[in-house]
Formats: sequence, C-alpha cells, structure tokens
Amino acid sequence: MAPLSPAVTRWGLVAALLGLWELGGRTLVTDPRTALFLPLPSTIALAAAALARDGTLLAAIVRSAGRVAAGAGAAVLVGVPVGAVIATWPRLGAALDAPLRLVRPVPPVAWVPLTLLWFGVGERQQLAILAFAALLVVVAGTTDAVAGVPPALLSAARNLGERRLLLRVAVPAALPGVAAAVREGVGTAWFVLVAAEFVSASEGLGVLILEGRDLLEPARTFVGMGALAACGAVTDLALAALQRRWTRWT
Amino acid sequence: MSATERLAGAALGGRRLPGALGIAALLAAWALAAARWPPHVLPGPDVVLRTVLDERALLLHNAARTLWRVALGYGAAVGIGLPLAGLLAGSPLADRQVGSLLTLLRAIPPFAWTPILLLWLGIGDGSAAIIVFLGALFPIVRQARAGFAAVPPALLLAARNLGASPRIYWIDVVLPGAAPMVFSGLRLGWALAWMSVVAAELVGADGGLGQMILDARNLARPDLAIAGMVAIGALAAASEGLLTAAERHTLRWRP
Amino acid sequence: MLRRLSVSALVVLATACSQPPAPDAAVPSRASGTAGAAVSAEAAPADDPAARGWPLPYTPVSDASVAWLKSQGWWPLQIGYFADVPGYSAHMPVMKDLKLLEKRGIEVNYTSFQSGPPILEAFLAGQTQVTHYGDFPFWNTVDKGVPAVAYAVTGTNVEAALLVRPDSPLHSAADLKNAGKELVIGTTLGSYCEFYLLAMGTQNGLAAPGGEGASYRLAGMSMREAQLLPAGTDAVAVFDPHVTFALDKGLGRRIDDVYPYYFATGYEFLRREIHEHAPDVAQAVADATIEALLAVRHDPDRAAALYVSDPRAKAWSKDAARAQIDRYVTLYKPTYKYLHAGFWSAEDARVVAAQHAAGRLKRARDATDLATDFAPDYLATTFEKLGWAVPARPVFLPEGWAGEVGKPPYPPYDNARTLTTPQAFPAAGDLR
Repeated sequence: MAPLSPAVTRWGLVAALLGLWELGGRTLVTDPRTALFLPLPSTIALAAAALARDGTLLAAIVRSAGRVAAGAGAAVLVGVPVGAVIATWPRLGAALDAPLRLVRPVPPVAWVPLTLLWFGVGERQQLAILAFAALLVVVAGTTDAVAGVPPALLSAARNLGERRLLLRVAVPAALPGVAAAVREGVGTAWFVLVAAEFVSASEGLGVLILEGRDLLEPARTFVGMGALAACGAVTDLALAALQRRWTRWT
Repeated sequence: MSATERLAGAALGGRRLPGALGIAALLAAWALAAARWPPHVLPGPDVVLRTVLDERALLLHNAARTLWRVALGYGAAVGIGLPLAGLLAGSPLADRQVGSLLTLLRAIPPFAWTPILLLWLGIGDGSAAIIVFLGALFPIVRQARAGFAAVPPALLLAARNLGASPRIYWIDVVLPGAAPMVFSGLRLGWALAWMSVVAAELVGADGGLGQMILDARNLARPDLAIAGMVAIGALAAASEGLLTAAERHTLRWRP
Repeated sequence: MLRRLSVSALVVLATACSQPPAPDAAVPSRASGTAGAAVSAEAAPADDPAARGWPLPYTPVSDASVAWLKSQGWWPLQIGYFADVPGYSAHMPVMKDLKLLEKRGIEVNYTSFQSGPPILEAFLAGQTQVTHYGDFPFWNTVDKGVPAVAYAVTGTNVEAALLVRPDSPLHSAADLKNAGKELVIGTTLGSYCEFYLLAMGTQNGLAAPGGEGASYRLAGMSMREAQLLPAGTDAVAVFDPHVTFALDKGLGRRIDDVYPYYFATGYEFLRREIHEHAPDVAQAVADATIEALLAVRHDPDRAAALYVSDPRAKAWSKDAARAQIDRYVTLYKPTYKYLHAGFWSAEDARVVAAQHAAGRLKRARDATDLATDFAPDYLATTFEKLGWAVPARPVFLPEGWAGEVGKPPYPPYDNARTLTTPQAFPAAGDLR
C-alpha cells in the first residue's frame, strides 16, 4: 500500500472530527435552540467569511495585536534590564526580586479589577495588565538567562583584561535565554489579552469572542477563538525563528 | 563550618536583608499610594489586613470552591495527559495526528472558552474545571512526552530483553527516567491551572475566589477584591511549594 | 548605586501615583466650546432647537464656574452613561451629538459604559463627575463618602423581571417557597434587581438569602450573562433590555416582575461640589438633559440610530433600541424626569434599610435624611423655562391611585405593560 501523504497523517484526525461534527449537527440534532448554542463548522466558516468581508475581523486582529505588541514591548523594555540587574548584582537583585516573587503567584487576571479602578476603562488599563503579566515572565526568564552565563566564560573574559569583552561575551551568551523569555512574555500577553479585552475593550478579538455570546451568535465566538489561536501561533513561530537565528550566531 | 557553607551563609544573609527591604519598599509604596486615595478606591495594607481577618469565613468558603475546581480540572489533566503523553511518545502516527489536534487546541487561550462554556454548561463547577483542564493539559502533555522520549532507548531495550513485565517497564524504567521533565510539566500545568481558574471565575461562576473578586467590584469593595487576590496568591504559592517538595522527595535519588 | 536606583524608583512611583486616573477616550467626543461670551443660536445647519421645543437663546455658564471647574481638574467635564440601557440613557448620545452642553459653554467628554461595575468605579474614583445609575448603587456611592446630588430620575419603571427557563417547574414567585431546595438566582449584585428580589421575597414570605432556611441564594453575574439563563441557575433577575432579549430569543419565560413591589429607578446625578460651587453648571446639565429628551421625542428613530452607533451597544439592533425608547422614554410625559424628593426618599428608605441590615451600607438613614441628596430644583427651573408645570407627583401614578409609596403591594399604575398609548402631553394641568 502506498504510504499516506504527510498531510493526511498530520491532519487526518482533525479533518475527521470536523466532518463528524458537521454531519452529526445536521442529522442528529433536532432542537432548533441548539443552533443558538452550538454552530456547525460550515456556519462558522460562513461567519468567518462575512466578518472578513466587512472588515471586522481584520480590525479586531489589528487592535488585539497592537495591544499585545505594546504591552509586551513595554514589558521587554523594562523587564530585560530588571532581570539582568537581578542576576548581576546580588543585593540589589534580591531587593527587586523579592517583591516580584511575592506578587508572581497571583494570576495577572486577578489584577484586572484593580487596574480598572486605577486606570479606568480603556487602552491604558489594557496596556497595564498586559505589560504587567508579560513583565513577570520576562524578568524571570532574563534572570535565569543572565545567571546561566557560565562564570568560567566571564572570568576568562575578565582575566583577559577587556571590560568591553565582558559585554561582548556576556550578552551573546545570555541572548538565547533572553530571546526565550521574550517569546514567553509575548505568549503570556496573548494569554491574558482575552481576559483584558473581556472586561473593558470595545474592539478586538476578545471582544469578538464575547460578542458571540452577547448576541447569541456563537459562530462569531469560534471565529474569534480561531483568529486568536492563529495570531498567537504566528507570533510564536516568528519569535521562535528569531530565537533560532540569535542562538545560531552565538 | 566548611568554606562553602560559610559562603552560602554569607550569600543568604547578603540577600535576605535586601529582599526584606524590597518587600518593605513595596508595602510602603502601597501605603503611600493608598494615603492619597480614599479607601473605597485604593485601600491600604492595613485595611486589607483587617478585611482578611474579618472575612476569613467567606474567604475560606470561596477558597475551598476554587480549590475544588482546580483539583477537578488538574486531576483530569494529569489523568488524561500522562497516558496521552505516553501514547504520543510511543506511536509516531498518534504523535502526528493527535499532536496536530493538540497544537491547534493549545493555541486558544483557555479563557477564550468561557463564553461558549457558559452557553453550554452554565455556571457550575464544570465550566471552570474544563477551563482548568484545558490550561493544565498542554504543558503536562508536552513535558511528559519529551520526558518519555528522553529515556535512553538502550535502557528500554535492555528492560525488554531482560523480560521486564509491563509494570516494571513503566514504573521502574520509564517513569524514573522521565520524572524530571514530567514534574516540570506538572509544575507548569499547576501554575496555568491557577491562572485559568481565576480567569474562568471572574467571568461568572457560582462562588469561588474569582467570583468573590467580581462581586467585590460590583459592591465597590476593593479591599475585599485585594483580600481575594492575597488569598489566591497565598494558595497558589503554598500549593506550588508543596508540589516542589513532592518533586524533590520523589527525585531525591538523583545526585 | 543601590541608593540612586531606589531613589529614582521611588520618584517614578510617586509621580505615577500623583496622576489622577483619567477616563479613556475610547468613545471619544471632544468638543470645543467657548465659554463666557453669550452663545447665540449658532446651531449646526441641520439643528433646529425650536423644532424640538427648546427656547433660545442658550444661557451660558459663568466664567467663574468655568474657572472653578478648571481648578478642580474637571475641565473638560467628564460624563458617564450606560451604553446598553436605552431606558436610562437614550438621551445621552443625542446630547453628545447635538453638542447641547458645548452650546451652553461647557467643554465635555462623554464615556459610555456597559452595565456593570465600571460606571460605578469611574464615579467613585473621580474619573466622571456627572453620571447615572440605579438607586441601589447610588446610595452605595453616597455611603462610601463620595458626595453626590441627584437632579433627575433616569428611566421610569424600567422593568425588572424574574425569568426561568421554558421547562422550569416554577410558574410564579410563590413557587419559590415550595421548591423544596435552595434555588440559585442569577443577578448582578449591587443592582436594583437585587433589591427587587428582596422586596419580592418579603411580599411572598421568603426568607432572605444567607439566612436560616433561605429559599434562594444569589449567584452574581453580569446582566449579559444572566440574560442567557445559564445552566446552574434556577432563575435570573434581570432588567430591561435584557428581559426583552431573553424573551425574544426564547431563552426563558417571565414569572414575576417588579411592578407590584418596588418603584425601581435610577438617578442622574453629579458631584455635590458642582451643586455647591457652580450651580449654573448643574443647571446647564439639567437643561441639556431635558432638551435632549425633547429631541428624542421629536425624532426617536434618529435617537435609536445614534444609540446603536456606539460600539459598546453593539448587542442591540436599531429596532430593539427603538422599542426600548418607546417603552420607557416616549411612553411618558417628558415631565417624568422630575425627581419628587418626598416620593423617592420614602421608597428608597426601604432599600437603604435593607442594604444597611445586610451590612452593605455603613450608615442607617431615614427618608428625610435621604432627601438631602436630592436637588429637584434644577429641573423645576428648567420646566419654568419651558412653561411646564411641575407635576404634583410622579407621572406614572394615575388619578386617584390608591396606594401609598413605601408600602407594597402597589395597585396598578402606568407602565409599559398597562399603557397602550403614550401618555398625552400636554394634557390638562401639564402647563403652567
């Protein structure tokens, strides 16, 4: 028997499940109210096309991606230096690290009500919660990355007398870990984005998901979820490629 | 005292004081900010402490509900995830097919399921537990699968050639080899489980710490909301500590 | 090095804390206005105040008031309103669109909110200075120490109802007592639906939730969730337009409503400091409110279209918004907005007593005390400008109404369920 094409072996199960869903929905389900709650894959596809045509989907993607970029960007700008400091200077590092470690177990989503109180409803609040969630992850990852630079490498550079060399040695050594931390930070931002948008945004993928419930058009919810997954995956792949490049030239 | 121990002691002493200072600075900044805002906007640490004490019955009741949901979802994630990881590590076909499905599902933040789950299941423990399950499953499966795959094939071959029973094969050969990565997945899954349960409850559940924080908002009681957050943080940290201790105990045979 | 870093960190923190949080212009409406000079009838070409019945010229607010608002950091003045409760806020998008406050010399920024905590938090945190919400949260606000005075009633008789799923064994409020188990009722905590349940419970002999042998307990959720009648609840208590949504989509049926137990309302209110230091600003707000109401009555279709153009109101179609406007805004004489201090303080005394008993309010207050947070004179002045008489009592009480406010059950009165045509205006006695 000829070997199955790679696409089938990879996606066969997914396709089969979708087919079962569509068939089952069309034949087994008789209560019309079910359509209000569980849309068929075909309905979802149609809804996706409609939302893409009228620009809603693109607008939502742009808004959400913008928020993630801004939040993660802020987190990286602040978090990488802080993480490096924590790993490099023991006493100052401990002072900075201790409060962060205290706060870390509280899921970022739990902060949402407080951020609403402080920043009001709007973009600043969205940015605050995304940046905060990503910050914790970026700091932790950067600390590990910088602390993981082999001391032998550093002392060798130091012995050679070159302070600049220290930088030229430490930074590339830590870079892969920092890249991983940034990637995780962005992933966390996407993770928390939904919660942030649920509570107080007027446009975005999270809003799209919520609208599906509010309007009782669950197809819209699934379209939002799918787009969210796609965006998260795309950014993650892009960052992974970047991480690989950085890892390669060190 | 050996030189190492003295160094360690000095290092600890050197880090503990600044650590305490850092926390003190955080509390001071909080108290400072709270002094500028009325208590119904930003309560200070003293107000929150009093609320925690006054409302401990409510906090405990809701904490129990949240813990129950986390336990349900996490238990399911472990119960389904570990065998699934074993399957994926063992069968390349399953790995590709199921793996693709998992990759698709993993990309959706668990919290995004809440509206649909509210429609399907309503506000009971089920919805929250499923969100927890979705949050915890993927890291558990991914790490466990990597762990199983990392067991040296030579060991597996040897065990099989020596006629090891399935029980010995799995429990004495595979699991110890995979244990460190499995634990790493369990820990990560636990952290994500906590994030997921709070998010799920914040949208609408029946009781629980997240729900309590939501209600505190509706009643303009930020002190109660912060008390809830403190409770969540404490529970998450304590449970994570337990998990780490269990991991250390189980892996204590490693050098 | 450590010291320098900690100092700069503290400085950053202190600076951050010193900025008062400002509401975001997510739904922006910055309008420029010139204060001081007499603003003549320079309406936009399409705008004709006379058509809706507003007498020109507009009275501008004084320079002193503008200066005072600026000194408080309240310039532009921040106004909050519900994006998704047309019964309360149909006039707000109109006020924004016609720039009615700018024409009176006040620079304004409007922020719309979905129903829920944010509109409350915004006022509590000082992010908005003029806003509206239900009576229950209004008293909560004042109790928390944020000074406010109410100048108008929001919507009259906006329905709150108890809904159950179509297959539920419950058919009336009395059934709640005999259910044999503790029922779960979903509603938004702190909303007037919560008091509706208490009032309904008292009338039907139900034990209050949380107490011995309680017939039900509350599951807190947003109105948008409650209207779906999610599994896990035996019933939900929601207010319109969520009632209409659930009924229209066949998600549930109504077994009880608020009308016999409780005159539920909301208040439009502003910071007390404005009332004390810049009353002409408060008067301008009251005038603009009534003028906007007149515009809604003049062209309800346009009002509905404006209403749903807000992204936060996306859940409502234009027809749905128009239906709500017909039920709660244009159904009554426009004088419905007048705040009868004696009437509402008598009714709300029950609400406040219940909240206080439940530990939600710190202070116990009686009706006379509550009336001190009302400022009905602004609307009285507005009505005078329009030649309207201040109604002796709320317009929804028919002639010879036999009930007594504060003592339910209430005999029938005018509301969307009992009126087939809108109240005539002006009828005998409506004008001075």
